[in-house]
Amino acid sequence: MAAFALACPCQRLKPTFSRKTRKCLSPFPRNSSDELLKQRGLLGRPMCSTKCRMKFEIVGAIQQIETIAAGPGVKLQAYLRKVHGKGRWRKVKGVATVRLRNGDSRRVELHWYEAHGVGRRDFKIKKYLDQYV
Amino acid sequence: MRQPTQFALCIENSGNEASLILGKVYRIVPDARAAKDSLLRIIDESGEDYLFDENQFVRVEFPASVRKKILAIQSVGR
Repeated sequence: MAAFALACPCQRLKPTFSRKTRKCLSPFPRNSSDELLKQRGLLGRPMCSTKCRMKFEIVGAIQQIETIAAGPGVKLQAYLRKVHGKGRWRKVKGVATVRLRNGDSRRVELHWYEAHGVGRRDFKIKKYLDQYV
Repeated sequence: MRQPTQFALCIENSGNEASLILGKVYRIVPDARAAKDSLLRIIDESGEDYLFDENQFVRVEFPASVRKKILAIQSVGR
């Protein structure tokens, strides 16, 4: 069942399943292929435009996740609390493949903030990791 | 010849509400490769440079004296 969990990295969306077929009804199921997205008219669109409103879509899982800063080391602590609420905010980095608005896929280093009970917020692309084509 | 520092005004911060403040001027770091993907490398509230969507900003130009003052303010704020 976990294989059908939503790929939405902000973790705000919960996967919904069909009671009869047990298939995921979410628009962006994890590891969704280009074909499936095309069928649903979602190819090239940001993953959750109505929810976390990210400008790019994260394809597959985020790898090599590391905490960069925690506690007072997080410079935006005040903004994060103001915007997303109280929590133990940590700045985290990871490597993932993202699909940009123009439909191109890139291997990038991502940085974001996360807190227990709140989830992952503020995804940002730090740099490209794939070779220049 | 070295190009003058460029700035952009944030007009949309959805998805990056903590890193970008609406109506604030941010410094652009030149990145030719990102520009091809319609992205801008911006020094955000954390003081680090990240790639953001071009549509979230409007490029603004200032006279040299104002540019100098903005850079001085931003360097103090970090």
